[in-house]
Amino acid sequence: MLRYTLGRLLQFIPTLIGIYVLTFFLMRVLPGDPAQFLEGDRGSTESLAETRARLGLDEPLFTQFTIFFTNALNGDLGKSFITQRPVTDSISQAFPQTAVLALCAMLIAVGVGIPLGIVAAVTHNSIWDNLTRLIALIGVSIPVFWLGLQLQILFGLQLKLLPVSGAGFDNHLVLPALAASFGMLAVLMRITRSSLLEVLTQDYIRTARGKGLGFGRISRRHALTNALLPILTVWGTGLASLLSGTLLVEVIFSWPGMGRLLVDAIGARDYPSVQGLVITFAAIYALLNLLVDLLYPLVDPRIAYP
Amino acid sequence: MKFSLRLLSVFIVSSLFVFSVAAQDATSVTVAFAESQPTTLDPHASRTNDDFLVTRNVCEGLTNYDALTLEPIPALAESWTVSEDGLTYTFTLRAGVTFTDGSALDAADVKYSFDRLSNPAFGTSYTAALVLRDVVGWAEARPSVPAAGEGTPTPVPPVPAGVISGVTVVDDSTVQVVLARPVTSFLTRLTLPGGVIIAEGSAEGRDFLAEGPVCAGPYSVAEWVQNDRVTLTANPTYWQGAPAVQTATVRVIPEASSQVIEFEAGSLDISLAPEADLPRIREDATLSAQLVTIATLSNYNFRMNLKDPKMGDVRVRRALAIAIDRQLVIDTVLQGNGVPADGLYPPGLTTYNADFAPFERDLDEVRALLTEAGYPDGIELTIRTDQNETENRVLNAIAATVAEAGITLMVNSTEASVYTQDRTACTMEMGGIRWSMDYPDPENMVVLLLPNAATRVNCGYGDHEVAGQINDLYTQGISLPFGAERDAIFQEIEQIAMDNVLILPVYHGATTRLISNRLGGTPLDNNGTIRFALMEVG
Repeated sequence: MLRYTLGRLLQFIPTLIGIYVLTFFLMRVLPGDPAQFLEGDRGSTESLAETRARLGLDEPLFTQFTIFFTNALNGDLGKSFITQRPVTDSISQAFPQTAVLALCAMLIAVGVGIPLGIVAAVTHNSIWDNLTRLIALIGVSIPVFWLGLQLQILFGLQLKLLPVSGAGFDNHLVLPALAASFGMLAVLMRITRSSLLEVLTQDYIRTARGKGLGFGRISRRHALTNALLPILTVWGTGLASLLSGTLLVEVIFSWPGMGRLLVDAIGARDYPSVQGLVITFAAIYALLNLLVDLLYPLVDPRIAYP
Repeated sequence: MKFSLRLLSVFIVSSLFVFSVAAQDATSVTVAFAESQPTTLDPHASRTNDDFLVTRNVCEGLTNYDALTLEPIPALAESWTVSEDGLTYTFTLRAGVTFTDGSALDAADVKYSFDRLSNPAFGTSYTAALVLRDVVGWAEARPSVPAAGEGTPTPVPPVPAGVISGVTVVDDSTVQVVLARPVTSFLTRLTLPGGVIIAEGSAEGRDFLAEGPVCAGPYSVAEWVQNDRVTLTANPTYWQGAPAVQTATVRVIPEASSQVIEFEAGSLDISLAPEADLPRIREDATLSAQLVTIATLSNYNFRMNLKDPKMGDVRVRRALAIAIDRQLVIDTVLQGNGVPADGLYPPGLTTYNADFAPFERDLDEVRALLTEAGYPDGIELTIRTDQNETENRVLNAIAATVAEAGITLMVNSTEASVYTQDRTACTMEMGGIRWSMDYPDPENMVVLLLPNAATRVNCGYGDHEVAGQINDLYTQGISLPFGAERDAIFQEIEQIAMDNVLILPVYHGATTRLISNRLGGTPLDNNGTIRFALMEVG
């Protein structure tokens, strides 16, 4: 197990380096010029050249790469072109915000989605099943910005129960977490339902029934544990995508997270920020994938790592 | 287990109810940034409207502008004299002014600030150039950097940077500024955010991403929580007396519709009022009573690529200009906010002439012009723009109005960074420009026509047959004293530019805001800037 974990961690190194190099060159291949974006309509030819020099964009591409890459290896991701703030600072400020929001959203999604999925599977083709199917359909198809606005209007404006927007690890969390959880909730519900249904049709379940075991015990002990694998996989990637920022939720609720940071950075062609954020997201995905893989043996004893 | 679950649900439900709208007292105000958040708290590097909001409330320059007339008025300089040749300005500093760190204002602070502003090693240069470009020593402090392409290292400036020789200390309370050419608008330019005075030495080693500047304005920055808010507190030693609003919070709410909801919920005192929300706001009696419209000194126009085979033909440019139904666009897309633009200058400038109407809509003339230019069956044109929502809707409405006259106008919108790059490279027929004036002087509109800026240098403006004439008139105009003669020169420039359709004006914009009825005084000046010191809170 330990050897496996270490091996996987070592594999991260080439992956992350590859992603960094790719991002570096992809950003520079993209049309758009950060210096001109900064200067906007006002700049003159002279000021444009000054800005290019200040940002180091006048250096040959290879020199720029060497500077960025050696700094990155030393943990320095450079400074934002727009704010001159060290990229690591922006990320370390935004990450906790996104992490808390993502975990709350995940809590709601798991806490509501999986039980509803179980209900749907157990009572399949009943009115309850159809009802949860409807919820799932709404969940995956409702645009999150619309949902966010409705939540703001209902809870912030009409009922005046919750703050409309803004950051804070208190009741400010409720609405954005609800909005962010909805899509995930629907997916978890459907995957729980389908994977549980599949297990429930297996021979050993029939055998268990034949032996006279109660239905509740069968679903909990025999069916759900075996249905957990696909749920776990979906959960892992879902959490990773929540952790890399739920952009629309962050914009609507003015939540200062990673998604907003990345979209602003791409729009402004803020190369250092984009590179730093992409490498952070890559690390998050890699770590969560590893975590999911390490959880598999707990769920399914047939999977074991040397 | 059952008990703890019940406890948990009670806790969750009760926590939903404890929230109450933050109590607003008579000394605190909460507003939101118009775009996102500041890029820096360094006033000399400020370049966005969000930067300006902080700078304008925290710092002052030698002059400031009157909130209503926008005329320059004495600020940190109590008075000044101008030499007869218009070249030497001698400023007498106001006595008894202290910075927020307690130090007293003297001439060395002014010298320090202007030297710092002239230093090319930091900040965006256009802010500095607007203030100092006609001061003696500017060219030496900012030697022009050759426009080098990628891969060509920039040569090191030959003169040590950071000293502007035209600004000198006469004595503790007197500063002299010598201009390289007489520029009548110099006192106005000093009111710009870049022209503010900070305490000598206070910028060294200061982290402007965390701390505000040491200025002598009505407020100081108490806190900047990244991506969340900037909090300002009143400066008790402000020379005009401590302002009534003690605490001003400026929140970061990038989504305009969210700002409106926050305003309705009572947690914002001033919010944006985007066009999409205007119909709803106007129907609501409470909201519409708090809706304020301020005409901005601006000009939305099409910048032409005169090197393009189609747009190089003045007949095509004029055909497009007179095919647009400007009033229709304003009434529908802009919800009535704005006036049709037929020239350079917006209402509010002395050079604005409501009777100047060179582009009255005439579809017969459009067809005649196009036929003459070799497009008897109509013409297809493409305009480029960034992804600004309002602008895209405006352009689509324009495309519909010009289609009646046989002009197929394609709207191609891309990210701003791509759009600005292509515009500089002149790879487009024309592009939309939202030009808001930096300061209320016609010269700031004429710069759109001068062939010296990155956005227009290579697209044929400098080579056009009237370029020399416009440049001469401009040089003449900026030196003349304010008055009819100066205005006439600028109107002549406008006439020439419109005869040749060098830019194609569409409308002069207006901004709408919701302002809480508990705010009196002048919460928003006529420049559209929120001014906490001028508010009275009921």
